[in-house]
Amino acid sequence: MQLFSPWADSLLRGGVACVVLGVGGGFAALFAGERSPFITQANEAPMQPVKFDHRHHVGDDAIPCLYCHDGATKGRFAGVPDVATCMGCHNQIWTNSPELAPVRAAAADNRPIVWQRVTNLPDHVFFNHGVHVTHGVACAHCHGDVGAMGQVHPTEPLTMKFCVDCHKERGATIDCSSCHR
Amino acid sequence: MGDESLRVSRRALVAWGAASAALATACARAPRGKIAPYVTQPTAVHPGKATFYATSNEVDGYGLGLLAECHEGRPTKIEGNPLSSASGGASGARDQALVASLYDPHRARGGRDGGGALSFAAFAAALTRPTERLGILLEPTSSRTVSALVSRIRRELPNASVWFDAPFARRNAWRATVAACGAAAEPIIDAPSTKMVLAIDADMLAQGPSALRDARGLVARPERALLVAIEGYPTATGAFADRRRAAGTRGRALLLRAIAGHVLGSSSAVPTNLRALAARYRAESVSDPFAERIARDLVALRGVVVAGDGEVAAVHALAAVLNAALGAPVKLVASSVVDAGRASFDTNTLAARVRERSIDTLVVIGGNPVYDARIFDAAALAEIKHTAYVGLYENETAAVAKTFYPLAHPLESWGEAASDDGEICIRQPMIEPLFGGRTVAEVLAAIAGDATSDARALTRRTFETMPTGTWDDALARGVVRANATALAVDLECAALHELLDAWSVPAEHAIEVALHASPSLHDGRFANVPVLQELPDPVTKLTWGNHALVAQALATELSASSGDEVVVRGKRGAVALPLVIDALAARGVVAIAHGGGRNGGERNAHGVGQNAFVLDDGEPVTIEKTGRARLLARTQLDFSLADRAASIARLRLADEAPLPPAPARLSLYDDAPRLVGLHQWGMTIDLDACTGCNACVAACQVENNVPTVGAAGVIAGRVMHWIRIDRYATRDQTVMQPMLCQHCEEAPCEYVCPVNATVHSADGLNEMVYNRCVGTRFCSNNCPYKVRRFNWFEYHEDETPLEILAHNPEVTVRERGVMEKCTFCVQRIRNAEQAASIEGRSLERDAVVTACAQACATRAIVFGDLADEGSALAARRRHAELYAALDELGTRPRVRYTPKVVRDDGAAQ
Repeated sequence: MQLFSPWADSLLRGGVACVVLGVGGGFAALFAGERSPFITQANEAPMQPVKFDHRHHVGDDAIPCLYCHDGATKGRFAGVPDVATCMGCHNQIWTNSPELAPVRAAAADNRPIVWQRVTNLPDHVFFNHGVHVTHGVACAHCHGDVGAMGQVHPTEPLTMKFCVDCHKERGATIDCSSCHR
Repeated sequence: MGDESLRVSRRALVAWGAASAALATACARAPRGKIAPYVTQPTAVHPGKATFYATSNEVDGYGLGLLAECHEGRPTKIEGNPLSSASGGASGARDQALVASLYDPHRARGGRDGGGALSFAAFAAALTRPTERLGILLEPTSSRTVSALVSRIRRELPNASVWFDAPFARRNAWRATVAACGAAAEPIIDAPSTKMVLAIDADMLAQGPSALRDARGLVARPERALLVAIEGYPTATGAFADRRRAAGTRGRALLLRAIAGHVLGSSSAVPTNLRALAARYRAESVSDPFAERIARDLVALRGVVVAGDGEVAAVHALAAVLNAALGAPVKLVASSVVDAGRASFDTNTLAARVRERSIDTLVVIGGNPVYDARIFDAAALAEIKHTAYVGLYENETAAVAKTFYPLAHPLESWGEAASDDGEICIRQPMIEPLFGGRTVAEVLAAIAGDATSDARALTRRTFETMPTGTWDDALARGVVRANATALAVDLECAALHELLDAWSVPAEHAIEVALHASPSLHDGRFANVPVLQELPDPVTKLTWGNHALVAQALATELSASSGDEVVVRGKRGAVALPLVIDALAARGVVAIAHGGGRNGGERNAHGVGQNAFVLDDGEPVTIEKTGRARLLARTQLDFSLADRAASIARLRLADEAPLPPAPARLSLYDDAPRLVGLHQWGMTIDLDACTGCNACVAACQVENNVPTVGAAGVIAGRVMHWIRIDRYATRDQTVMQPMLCQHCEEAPCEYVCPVNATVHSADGLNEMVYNRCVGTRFCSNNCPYKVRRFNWFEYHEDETPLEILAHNPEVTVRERGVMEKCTFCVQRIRNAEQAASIEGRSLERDAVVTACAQACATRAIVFGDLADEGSALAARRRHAELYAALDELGTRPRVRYTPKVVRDDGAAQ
């Protein structure tokens, strides 16, 4: 008495292959998803309260990054400039521009401008701009060519692999506690 | 299994594991944060960088210079001000809790009149009716601003009277010095030249205005002073002492009389009538070899006698006489506390006036007189036409006050106070008052009719009267040296003789009560700070609440054991507390700490302990079992060393040969760990300097965002302290051994972690990577030192936005299900390294100090770089008796200990 039909073996093989491919594919999809621009929000420019254009300030006016982000060589945060920095120029030029109305209002009301964060690291990562910038890591290495962007968007996924690859390449520390503590 | 292709790397395995976890949780887009830069960024502020400002705190009238670490305008950590003579850069456990009390969500939110909101102007206006008889009750203070305002009020408002009170004001000491040298004075020990100290019921190394200075001066030096303690309740100082005797009031009086008899009788420097008194004392005392030895040592070493604040005035006077007769290195300086030794501290008169209703309006600023129940009770206060209270919390006193206004927290205040040696500590605010609170000076100014003066202007005006320096310089340094007037004891003085002559030996009681300030909660004012509630008592290791501490003999009489609830009944009232038996407790004495039984607005303290102010210190009490049993929230259950004295907490007597180092260990493995980092971090802990004062524990907790777990959590063994102080009893002595992650080079925890969440760094740190940890707890199981802590719950979940401000932004706030432990304050190491790297220089020697080492007054804890031969740590590591805890396990810890060296045989327990 033959319990299994001739194609039972094929069915089993096919079934196993489906399960393996399905699970594997699922994992692969998750991995790909986690790193996809949708999740990392790379290339996505948030809507900012002021239509600040880096192309104009960096490209046309050749203002160096550090003029506004002066914390970048000093410590943890590169910093977003205070309203006073904006008004340093804009109380002289473009004083009536409607685009700058929120800046003037902030200065007048002594109320900060609330920007949308563009570059985001997880809370358990302690990144220090200073050590990177003073050791030859260009701003564009992580932030992309911001000077060519109208609305700023991240260009790199900023995953741990992105950091560690560069650290290894340059012989920098890869001790866990350098970034996680 | 030689086939390389079959081997899956650990990383790959973890990656697959992580993917499966991701399956369960599903991917999510991180929410976008917001950035709100300043409108005009202050020049001193660099976002992301801590800024330190000098400030100060005042407790019971004594100032202490501090530094506050601020991040973007919010204080997150307190350290001692190295320029302050009273702190010398160290700090106590209670100072560490200042930040937590600033962001306390239970603080009073605003003024009120009955139920309605009340502005400060309206609050003050009600107090300034000149026809009314006004009583003002203040906490003791050494602020010159307050002093000037009090004088002005007394001058300009003839109907007003000003009083001072706090449960632990130094009334007795002042009374003695008024008699002995004509004015209230503070004894200032010249600690570095002191060879011996006799502490009489004084927790002088852990509590009081001079504790940090004395601890550093007496202990943190190559040859520490001989310390002898005679005390009614077990204190950190007594446990640390080389020679200790536990005795009730009568026992202490007899011992002191015997000592005084010996010392004064043999001294030619004392006048004849004192010598006659000494003979009488000697006759009234009992012959005791313990006292004779102390007397001999006092004479030989010119020892300093220190009397505890709870002792009667005569004991303080006798201490002053002994010091003068011995020529001891201690000077008396005029007290800077306003009205010290004057009648305005005699609050019985105030109580009488309240009873007679000869006061129309009573303003209580600070303190909590209804809770401490010594002056008047709630009923008496309710009789007064108008009672106003100004305080941090809507506490027991606020509950009976008709109007209330919040007091500014020290970190929100302008002001100044003097430390006990007269140094002026400037206080500047770190943050605007969160709830619109006002300082004591502002309230007094308003009463004096000057409602517009702010505290800054008032402090500035006071500063102008000071002798030296500029205002900016004073703010930057935080302290201003002022020459306090030195006073001398007049041994011929009649008032002194009268005081000593009238001192009789206290009657013998079967059982007496010894009430004392709680080492962490003081008089209960800090009861709402969970960090302090959970700080283990230095001796009993009990947390959350007070207890009835007795010796075994008394417990046997009651046939009670630790945890049984007992009722301790005195003349005025009774408390029901769990009994705790301790080997260090005195016979026939029930020791109870204050600070329990709060039922005001401090909701964290509700139901914690009982109010011991219903008893009187030293009074005879009865004690009986109720039959109920309580679970004790205790962080250490057993103080014995079993047979491991040599490998854990080492101790030897001074005249014994130095302890030999552990025998060299044989290993089958390559012995040199491959640690290639430029710096190699390590620590030494000197058991001969650790008093167990808990400053390190609190400092660590604040620095590293370590959560508190509550009494139930402590009972369940879930306390989270990264550093604990183990108390061990060995050879009739006590050893306090701080125990923290030992950063083993061959760390047992690292081998067993399945996800490599705990690994070793190149510079010798045992790292804990929270975002990798999956909470198997294998590491904790395999840790021989038991220093790893597991987050059983989401301890930070219920924090209000206000409490979150207290977090150190440099340290991750851990979530449920991850293991954590001491990191050697890696955030401080990395920040220092990165700052050096940015500036292109190498790290300065001893530039990194951990929070525990920073707080330690006795410099028991030294942290540093082993790779630097010139570092303070390297010097400590060359100590001949250096040893590793549990050395036989071969863990090669980076923390090393040096043994406790007892300067005595400790025969008389």
